[in-house]
Amino acid sequence: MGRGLIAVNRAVAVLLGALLLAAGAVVIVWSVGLLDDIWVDAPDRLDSSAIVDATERTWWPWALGLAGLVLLILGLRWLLAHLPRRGVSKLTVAGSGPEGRLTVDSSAVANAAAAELADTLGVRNSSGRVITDRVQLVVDITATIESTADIARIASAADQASADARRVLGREDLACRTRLKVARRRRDVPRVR
Amino acid sequence: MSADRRAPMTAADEPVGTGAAGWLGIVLAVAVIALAVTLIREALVAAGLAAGSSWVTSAASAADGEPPSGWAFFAGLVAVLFGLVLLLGALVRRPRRTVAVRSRTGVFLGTRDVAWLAEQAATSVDGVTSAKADASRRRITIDIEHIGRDDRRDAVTRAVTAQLAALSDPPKVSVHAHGQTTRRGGDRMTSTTRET
Repeated sequence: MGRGLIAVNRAVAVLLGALLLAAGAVVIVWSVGLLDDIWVDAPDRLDSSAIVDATERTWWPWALGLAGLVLLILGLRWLLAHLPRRGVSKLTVAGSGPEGRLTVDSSAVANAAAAELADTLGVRNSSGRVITDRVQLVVDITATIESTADIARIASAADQASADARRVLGREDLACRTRLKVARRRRDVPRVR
Repeated sequence: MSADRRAPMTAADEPVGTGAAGWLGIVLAVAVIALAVTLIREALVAAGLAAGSSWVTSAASAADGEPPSGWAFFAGLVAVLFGLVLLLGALVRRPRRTVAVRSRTGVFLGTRDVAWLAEQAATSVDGVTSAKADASRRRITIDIEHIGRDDRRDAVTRAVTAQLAALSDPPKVSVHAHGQTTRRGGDRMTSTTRET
């Protein structure tokens, strides 16, 4: 989920939350008869005659229909934005210029780095992809490791895999992240490889 | 390309969860769609293109002239509660549940994985029969059961600290030991230590 979407979600939730809180508080105060103390002209009864009047106007169905369509489009777009985002599929590599663009399948590079890491003792399996995270382009590797693994050794193998991927791509703007997950079930691990 | 061809990529920022803002957005988006469908239905009914009665008209007519009563109080209460949930959900920080491993490129372990590593390290200590760890980003608390009278806390602390030595900011380790003698009906001792 991108930062922009989270910001939108938060902004809408704050606005709607503040509105509900304020409206709810006013209704509570009104229902116990204390609204007169704050607002002299507070109505004693609900007055929804304006709405009833509006429903009889010719523009009413048009206004409702238009508002409904706009909200439907916005709502669907908003909901679809929550679908898990796909990673970056292609990366431009060093050597690209006006004569031509060199692109590489980013998942192949990320998986190659992951495969290199998977060769380390204590790493059970590993996979990689390239994603955009916040403002960074990130080679995101997830590795499952044994619970007895030497973490320092795996970290240095991750450094090595990252260095190799960087050399292959020849790009300086990529960041790398390796998430280690510890296998919950033990498996016999060879002592020597 | 920089001079150091062997340098890894720069470390990415630590992963963060989406927190409440994720599901709040989905719930609100569904609510917007439901509202939109209701409005379109109202429009069709008002235009005479669909059968049925207008919900807006009947609700507005029914509410017109109502004095304040119990329903208003409860409606207000529900609105206040929903408002609070939305505000709190929107303002809560995105969760960070990983710790960094010392490395040049970014390597991260989840706190639950750290707890599991600590449990495995603790149970590898001689005499420890079981271990249950609870880890946050700054602290690990381990409850161990062990046999024999010897105090295993130091050994467990050492084993766990060694296993987690590669973390760039290793959490504090505290061990609570629940020892038991091997004889049936033997006395049971409980001791606690806090070490880093």
